Amino acid sequence: MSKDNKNNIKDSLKKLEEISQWFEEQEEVDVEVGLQKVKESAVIIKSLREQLKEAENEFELIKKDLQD
Amino acid sequence: MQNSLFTSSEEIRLTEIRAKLASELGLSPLKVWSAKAMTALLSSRPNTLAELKQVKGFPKKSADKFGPAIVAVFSSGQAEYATHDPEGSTAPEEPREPIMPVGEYIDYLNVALKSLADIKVIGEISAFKVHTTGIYMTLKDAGGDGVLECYINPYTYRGLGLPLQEGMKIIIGGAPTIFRRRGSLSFRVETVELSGEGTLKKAYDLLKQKLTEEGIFDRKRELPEFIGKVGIITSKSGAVIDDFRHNLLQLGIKLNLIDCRVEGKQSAPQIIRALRTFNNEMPELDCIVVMRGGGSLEDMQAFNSEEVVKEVFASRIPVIAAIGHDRDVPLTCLAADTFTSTPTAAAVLINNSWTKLIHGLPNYQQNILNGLQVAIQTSKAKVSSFGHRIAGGFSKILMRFNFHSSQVSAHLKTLESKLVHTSQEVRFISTSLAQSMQDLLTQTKDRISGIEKILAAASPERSLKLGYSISYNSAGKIIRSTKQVSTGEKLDIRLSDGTIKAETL
Repeated sequence: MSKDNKNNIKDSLKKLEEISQWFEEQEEVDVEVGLQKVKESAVIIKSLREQLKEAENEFELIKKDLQD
Repeated sequence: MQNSLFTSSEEIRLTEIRAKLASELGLSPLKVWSAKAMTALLSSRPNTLAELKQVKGFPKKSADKFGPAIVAVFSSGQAEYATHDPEGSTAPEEPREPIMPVGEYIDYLNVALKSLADIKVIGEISAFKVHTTGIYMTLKDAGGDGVLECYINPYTYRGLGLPLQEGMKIIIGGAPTIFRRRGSLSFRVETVELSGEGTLKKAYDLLKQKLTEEGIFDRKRELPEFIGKVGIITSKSGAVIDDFRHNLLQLGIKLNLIDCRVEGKQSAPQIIRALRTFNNEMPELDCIVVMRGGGSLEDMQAFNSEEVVKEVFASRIPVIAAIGHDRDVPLTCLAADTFTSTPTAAAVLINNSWTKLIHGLPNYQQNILNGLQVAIQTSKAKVSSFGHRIAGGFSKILMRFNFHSSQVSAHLKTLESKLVHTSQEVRFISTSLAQSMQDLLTQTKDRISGIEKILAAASPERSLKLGYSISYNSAGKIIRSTKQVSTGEKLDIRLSDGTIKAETL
């Protein structure tokens, strides 16, 4: 996995955490704003689910002369 | 194989040539050509320079420099040992016993002794001295009286990665050498293996203490999140790698294996080389996993070697050590950033680096949806509460309306009854009024009739009928006096039945 991709996951999770926290912190949630945030989080969740999609691990034997 | 002390005349001749050349060049005989090269020469027996250059293991440089002398040994007529024959006699002689100078003899012996390099010696360290020029130690039989002086080159000693100490039982490899100047025999140690659990434990404890003091075990780095690229150092044929792979979540993780011996004297250098390869050539790896199945302290020697431990410590990439062990945790594990005792546990560690996403994602999803649901429910409740309040307010209004309505209704009823009453009154009054009016009318009529009668009696008409008349002048005015009339004035005299035109005279 590339470093960019990894940072993307971290940033996306952070964003979700912020949204989740936003809901917790609001004494009175503005449904319109809440709905907007849910829509935003749905896009993020979909992209993160892609990361968790089952993909076979790649295995490579590195051939190095270790006899030196 | 030259395990025997018996040597051919060719070997003796070659040794002589080498010693002579060494003396001329001011080098040690073994620098001219080594024991291995000597063995190669003796087995190849080159007759020409071309053949000599083909001899494997014999340096080409030496072939160029000393070729003719060497080839001469094997070419016909030169095979026999050239004896010292100051007379230069060509007559056949009785074979003579070889005679050598001391130094040459020692060189000769050393060549012969080199061929004993296959033999390993086991013994206990009875004396151990560290000197700038190397390590000097005495090895003795644990139960017998044999004693062997040994020397370890400082570079070799560092490479061993083993802390040696008096009392340790070791197996040494190398070859005995006789020092020319002293004539004493010393075993030049090339390899050292620790022998017996006691010695291994002692070495383990010593190294553990040393490395602890150096702080090698203190530094622990956190494994990165979402591990996607892993370097693996283990044997490709072991069950360990399969266990690891089977227990790893299928998330498209890239696994790069460098196949290494994990036991035996080759293992330590191979592990070190693999660690360096990953660090230098694949710095983007998230972590390196060094794996091995369980084993005894003896099996774990590579993982308790100072060199390996320090290489793990030096790794810029975080290292997970997954090495099975009994009581003593291998020092490599202690130096690693994280360690487990099974490959499965190492796979779980890597899986756990994904926990935040695997478990976090549904949690966040649930929290956010719950948040919205709560918001909607709160809004619904509010709307409902507003509805109730409005309904309540409306109901109040309704009640007031009803109240007022009933009031109005009551008033209306009162009004109605009053109206009925009034109407009755009006009706009564009107009846009375009508009666009164009638009466009044009758009275009036009567009065009018009376007045009419009076009027009729007083009417000029009646007077006229009675024979009275009324005279009008030409102006139409009633003439009431004679004075009002002039002579010749035309008059109208009105009678009851008409008018007479007259003229005064």
